Amino acid sequence: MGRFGFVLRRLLLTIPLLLGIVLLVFLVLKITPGDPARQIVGLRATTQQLDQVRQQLGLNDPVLVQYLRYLGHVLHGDLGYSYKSLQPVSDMIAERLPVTLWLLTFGTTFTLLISIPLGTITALQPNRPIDHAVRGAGLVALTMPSFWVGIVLILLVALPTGLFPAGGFGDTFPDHVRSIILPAITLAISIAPFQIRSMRTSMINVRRSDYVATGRSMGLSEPRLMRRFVLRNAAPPTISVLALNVGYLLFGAVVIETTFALPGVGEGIVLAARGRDIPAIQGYTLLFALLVVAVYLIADIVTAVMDPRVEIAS
Amino acid sequence: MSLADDLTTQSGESSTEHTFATERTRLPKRVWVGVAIVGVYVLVAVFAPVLAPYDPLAQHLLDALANPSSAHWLGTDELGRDVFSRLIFAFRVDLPVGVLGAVLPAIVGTALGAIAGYFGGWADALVMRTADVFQAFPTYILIIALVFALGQGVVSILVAFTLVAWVAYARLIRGEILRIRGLDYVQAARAAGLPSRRILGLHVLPNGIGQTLVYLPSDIVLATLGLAALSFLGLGIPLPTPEWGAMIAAGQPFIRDQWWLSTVPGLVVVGFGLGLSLIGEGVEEWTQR
Amino acid sequence: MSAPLLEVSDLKVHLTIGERQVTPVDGLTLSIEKGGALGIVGESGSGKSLTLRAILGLLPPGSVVDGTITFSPQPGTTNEVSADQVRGNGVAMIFQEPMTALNPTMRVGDLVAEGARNHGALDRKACRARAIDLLRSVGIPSPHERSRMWPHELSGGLRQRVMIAAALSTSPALLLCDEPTTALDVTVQDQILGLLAQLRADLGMALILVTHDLAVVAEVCDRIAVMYAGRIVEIGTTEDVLTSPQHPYTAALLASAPTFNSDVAQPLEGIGGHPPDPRAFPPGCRFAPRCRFAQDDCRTAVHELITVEGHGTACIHPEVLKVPVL
Repeated sequence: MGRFGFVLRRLLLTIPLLLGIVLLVFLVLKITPGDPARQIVGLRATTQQLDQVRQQLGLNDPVLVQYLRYLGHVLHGDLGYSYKSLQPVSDMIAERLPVTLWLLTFGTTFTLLISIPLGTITALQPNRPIDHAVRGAGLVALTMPSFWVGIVLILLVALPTGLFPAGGFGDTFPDHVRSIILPAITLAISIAPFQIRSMRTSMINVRRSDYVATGRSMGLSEPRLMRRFVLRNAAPPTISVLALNVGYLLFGAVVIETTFALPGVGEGIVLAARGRDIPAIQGYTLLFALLVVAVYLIADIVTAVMDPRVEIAS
Repeated sequence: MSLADDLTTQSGESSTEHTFATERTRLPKRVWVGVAIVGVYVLVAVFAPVLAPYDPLAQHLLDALANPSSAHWLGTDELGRDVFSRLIFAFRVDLPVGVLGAVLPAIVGTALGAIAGYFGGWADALVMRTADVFQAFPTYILIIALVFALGQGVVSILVAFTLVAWVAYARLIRGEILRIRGLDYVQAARAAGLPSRRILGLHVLPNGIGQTLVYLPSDIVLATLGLAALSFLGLGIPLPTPEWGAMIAAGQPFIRDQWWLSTVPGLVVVGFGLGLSLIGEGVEEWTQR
Repeated sequence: MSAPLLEVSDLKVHLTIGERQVTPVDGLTLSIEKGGALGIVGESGSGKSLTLRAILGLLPPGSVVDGTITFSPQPGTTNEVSADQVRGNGVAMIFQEPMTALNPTMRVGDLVAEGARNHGALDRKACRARAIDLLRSVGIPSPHERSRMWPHELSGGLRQRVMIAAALSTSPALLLCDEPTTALDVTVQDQILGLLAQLRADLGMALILVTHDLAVVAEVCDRIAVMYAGRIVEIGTTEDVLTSPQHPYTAALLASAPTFNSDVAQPLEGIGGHPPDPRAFPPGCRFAPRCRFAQDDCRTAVHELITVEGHGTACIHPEVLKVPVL
C-alpha cells in the first residue's frame, strides 16, 4: 500500500499542474494576432462567410466560455482540426509521435552509452589528462548548435559513405533504423556533456563515502565494490538528471527532426508555426508539456522504486 | 565525519563567505582568453560596416553560389549576396540579442525573486507558483509558442526569452535571501534593531549578484544558441536580415557543393560560445577559491 | 616473547590540501598484542582517525603514507604488510556514523554476507546463514527478519551492531574502531561497549579504539595512547595514564572531564585555545602554546617518547605534574 499510495498521491498532485498548462496554452494562443476565420476561408472571403466560420468555431463567445469548451474538448481527446489540412489534430499527432519516440529512444540510449563510461572514467581519474580532455570536449559540444552538428554529420558521414540517408524516415524497418542513427547521435552529442558531468560528480561523491570505505575495509575487490556499492548508488541521480533535461531533449528533437526531415511531432510543430495553424500548435504544445510532466512523474516513481530510502509512508 | 574533522580549519567558515573577505587571488588565465575572444566579437559587431566589403542585402543574382575567391572571401549565397559581409553583419544581430536575451531575464528574475524573498507571504507564493507552471513547460516549446503568438522579430524573441528564463534568476536570489535570513548573525543583528534593508544590501546583494554573474555567461550562450535555433527553424529573425542560424539553414540545401555556407557560420557560433564559456568557468573557479 | 599482533613504526600521513602538503600524522609508533585493547584518545584534529585509516589504506586519494606496518597473526611469522593485504584479512574496521557507513542500497544481511563470502569461498546459502549467525552474535534480536531490512529502517544502535557484524564477517584478529559510540545515545553506548568487550573475550580479538571520550577508554581498554597534533604524547596502561598522567595535555583532559566524584563547586576546566592547524604546526612541543607549564626549552624540544616501566611520555618536564589527578 505504501508504494502504491505514493504513486497515487504524485499523480493527483500533477492534476492542478496540468490544468495550469492547458490554461497557459489556451491563453498564449488567444493573444495571437491574426484571424483564424480568414485563414481557413482564404483571402477572397466575403464578410458573410467569415462570420459563418467564426460562429462555427465559437469565436464570438466570451473568452471564459471558449476556455471551458477547449478544456472539455481536450479532456475528451479532441484537439480540434488543423486550419491547413482540416485533419483532426489528434490524428496528426498520432501519425507523427512514433517517429519522435524512435528518435528519443535511440537518442537516450546513445547518450547513456556515451556518458556512463566516460563519466566513470573521468571520476576514477579526476584532474588527470583524460578528465581534462573529456571536459574540454564537453565544453565544445555545448557550444555547438545541434542543427549544425547534424548538418556536419550529413556532410562528413552521410554524403560520402551513402550508408545513412541525408534525411527522411524511410518506409521499411531497416530504413527506419538507418535513418535514425545520425539524428540520434546528434541528439546524444547535445545531451551527453550534462550527463557526463553529473555522473562524474555522483561517482566521486559515492567513492568518497563512508559506506564504500566499509566495503573496502571488508576486503572486497574493486570490481565488486564498483558493482554493488558504487554504481548502484551513483547511477540513480544521473537518471534523474536525464529526466530533468527532458525539456532540452524535446527541443533537441524539434531541431533535429527539422534538420533531418524526420516526420515527427517536432517537425510538426515547426510546420504548424510556419503555417500559423493554431489548433495544431495548441495540440503539439499540449503534447510536449504532457510529455515533460509524464517524464518527471516516471522519473520520480522509478527513483522511489530504486532507492529504498525514499519514504513511502505518510 | 571524523575524517573531515582532522582536516578543517578551526574557524569553520564556509568557503563562499571566505572568498569575499580577505584574499584577492588573481582571476584564472582562461577568463582573460575568454574576454579577448568576446572582445574581438564585440569589435567586429561594432565595426561591421567598415569590415564588410559589400552590403549584406545586395543581391548579385548572376553570381549566385559562387566559390570563395578574392572578390568574395566566402563566396556568395543562393541570391548572390556576399556571404562574408552577411556573416559580419550577423554579428550585429546575434550579439545584442544573445546578450539581452540573458540580461533582461536576469533583471526581471532578480527583481521578482527579491520581492518574493523579501516580502514573503502571498507575494512569495504567487511568484513561486507562477514559476512552477512556467518551469513545467519545456522551455523552448514555450518560446516557439510565444514567438508564434507575438509574431517574428527581435522584440517578441526577447519577450519570449524573458518570460521563460526569469525563473532561474528569481530562484537564485530568493534562495540567497532566505539563506541569509537564516544565518545566526543576521538574526542577532535584527534582534538588535538593525534595519533588514541594510542587512540585505550588505550581504545578500554581493553574494547573490556574484552567483548571477557566474551564471550569466552560460545563459548568454544558451540565448544565442536559442536565437540561432529559432532562426534556423524559420521562426526567429525574419529574412533577409543576416543571422548565423538563418545562414546555416539557408546553406543546408547546398551542403554537397557549397559546404562552407553552412559550416562557417556554425564555427562562428562555436567561437562565441567558447569565449563566453571560458569566462563563465574561470569566474566560477575564482569564486570557489 | 612473541611478536605483537600489530606494530606500527614511524607512521606518517601526508595530504595535499590545495597547494600545500600537510602531515596530520607525524611519526607515530605503537603496537598491540593479541587480544589486547588499546585506546587512542585526542581532540578532533589530532589525527587519530587518519591513523586507523592509514593502517587499512582508506585514505583519500592523493595521500602518501610513510612508515611500516607489521602484522603477525600467526606465532612465529612476522610480515611487513601493505594495507591491501590486511583488509578483510585479519584486520577490520568499524566507523563512527552507522547511517553513512552502511550501503543504503543493500539489505543489511547482504552486506554482512559480502564479508563472509570474501573471506571463504562459501556458496550463497552458507554465506547467508553465516550472516544471520553473525547478526545474532552481535545481539540483534530476530536476526532472520532483520537481515532483510534496509539500513535506514534500523535504529542507530542496531546499525552499529550491523557494522560490527560486517566487520566480524571477515574473522579479524584485530578490530579498529573509529569513535564507535560517539554518534549514539548514552544507554546504547554502554551496550555497544559491552558487546565489544564480550567479543574480545569470546573471540580473543584485539581492539584499537579511537575516541575523544576518556570514559570509553577507561571502560574497555587496558592501554591508552594520548595523541596530540599528529603525535603520541603519552602511552601506558589505562591505570597508569589515568591515575598519574605524565603529560600536561593528559592532565588537562582529565581535569576537564566531569566524573561522578568531582566537586560540583569546582568549575570545569576547559583547555584554552584550539589544537594547532595541521598546515602550521608550532615548532618543538606542539602543546606548548596551550600548556600552562610551558618553559623556554619546550619550544625547541625534539619529540621523543621516554618510557619508564612501560609508561611513556613526550613531555620533557613531567615533574611539573607532581600531584596525581585522580
